[in-house]
Amino acid sequence: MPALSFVGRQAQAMVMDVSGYDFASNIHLFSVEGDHILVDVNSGAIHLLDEPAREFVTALIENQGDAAQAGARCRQLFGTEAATEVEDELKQAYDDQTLFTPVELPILNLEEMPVKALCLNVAHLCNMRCTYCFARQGDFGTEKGLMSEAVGRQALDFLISGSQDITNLEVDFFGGEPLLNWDVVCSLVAYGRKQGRKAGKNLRFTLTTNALLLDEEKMDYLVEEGISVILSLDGRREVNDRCRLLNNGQGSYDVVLPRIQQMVARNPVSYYVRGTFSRGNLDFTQDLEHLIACGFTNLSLEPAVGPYEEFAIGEEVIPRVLEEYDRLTRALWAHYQAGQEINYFHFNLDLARGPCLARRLTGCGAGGEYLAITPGGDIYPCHQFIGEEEFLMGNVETGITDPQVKQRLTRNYLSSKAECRKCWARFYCGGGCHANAYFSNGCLEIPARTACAMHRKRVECAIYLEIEKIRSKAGHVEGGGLQ
Amino acid sequence: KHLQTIVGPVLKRRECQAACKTSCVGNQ
Repeated sequence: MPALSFVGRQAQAMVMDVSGYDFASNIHLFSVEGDHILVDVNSGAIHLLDEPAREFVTALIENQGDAAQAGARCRQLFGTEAATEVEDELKQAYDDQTLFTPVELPILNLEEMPVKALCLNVAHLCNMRCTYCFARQGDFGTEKGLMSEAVGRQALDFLISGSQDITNLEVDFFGGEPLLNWDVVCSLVAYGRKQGRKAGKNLRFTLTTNALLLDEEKMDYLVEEGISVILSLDGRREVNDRCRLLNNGQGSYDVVLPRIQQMVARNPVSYYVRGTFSRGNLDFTQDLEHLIACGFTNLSLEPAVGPYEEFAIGEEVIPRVLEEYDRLTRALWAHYQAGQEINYFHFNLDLARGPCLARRLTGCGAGGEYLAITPGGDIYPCHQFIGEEEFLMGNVETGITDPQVKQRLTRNYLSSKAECRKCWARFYCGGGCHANAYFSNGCLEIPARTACAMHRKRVECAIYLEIEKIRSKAGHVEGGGLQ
Repeated sequence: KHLQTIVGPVLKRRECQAACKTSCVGNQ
């Protein structure tokens, strides 16, 4: 197989050998709205290609790195001068270590990874009956109940003492509906702040709510305490009210929308209006537009997951979902061009300041740095494993009593999964959701096919939008990228 | 002329944050 070499140059020093290179795993070439985008997976570098360069790289991939064939095709279509220029520029990128870079998948020992974040299920009760709820209407299929202040304090002590030298710790009040246990939430915020200060820790709190019990007093408290809020609303009234039901079976839209608007108007430290899309609204761009029209700019629309086949996004609707992500991308770009930047959670991708390689390899950290606590103090790897007895790790009173669960989760990171090692999106994903894998395939080691398809598409859309923003800010100046 | 580098080799270098709850690193 000939190496990529250049006319008029001395061979030995100027050869870029990409024969045998695993293109499928280590570069990704895709086109969005006429932009040809090339991702060099191992370096994180991203390039924009014109037509001759796209043709050359495509031919290189199709011919397993045979540069002679790639060059011939490029010359045939675009002439000798363009083909030579493309070869020179590819070689320059290779020399700069931004193209065709070698695989780097360090082996990590994550079993000693300290805890840094808790999902605190302060209520296994809910005042709504959402049809697609993975928490099975609030109790996760376990005993209904509220967390006592004593158990909550033990959980925070467990977090602070277990976090070793990590300063930034996170606690999400979750459920069920956490506002059903409001007094305990307030007590735990005060206790966490006090104990955190003593230990030199910075505790950040988040609260996820259906907004049904949000009143002015609670809103003021959340703002004053700097608590981030996640507010559940699916979008259009008819979409929301199909799934998000009050206990009396009525839709919740008219009750919760004004409260969510009041909460957002108070300018909390951070907020997301978070919706779920399911088989019933595969045209979810319409829901995004509706939420924007309601005055919200921080938005998250997530695919339904869980045991309910009539709602969860299955393989047969994936092509439709991917098509909708294209539509969503165009909508977000149109808003940006009109001067309205919408912060869409799953298209957040800071290309220059993303996490380090070790962090990307670790993924979500479930079972290690991230744990979920039930109202009774039981410890699970994450909120989605609650109620699955084989994943019970211990209790905040006794600590971790089954270290094998932690081993099982922390050993199951990106580098250990065959499919993930070969995936071009691996460093934007981190190895996927353990729970999605487990509930889809019955094992942790094989990622969920539908989740992977959606995630790869979201990464493509996010990269495209970031590139367009960079070009827009640079006034389309050649070479105006982030270096 | 033909290849514009938008982002350089950012990967050649636990305090970061650990919305969704269903599709959990790229956006950190």
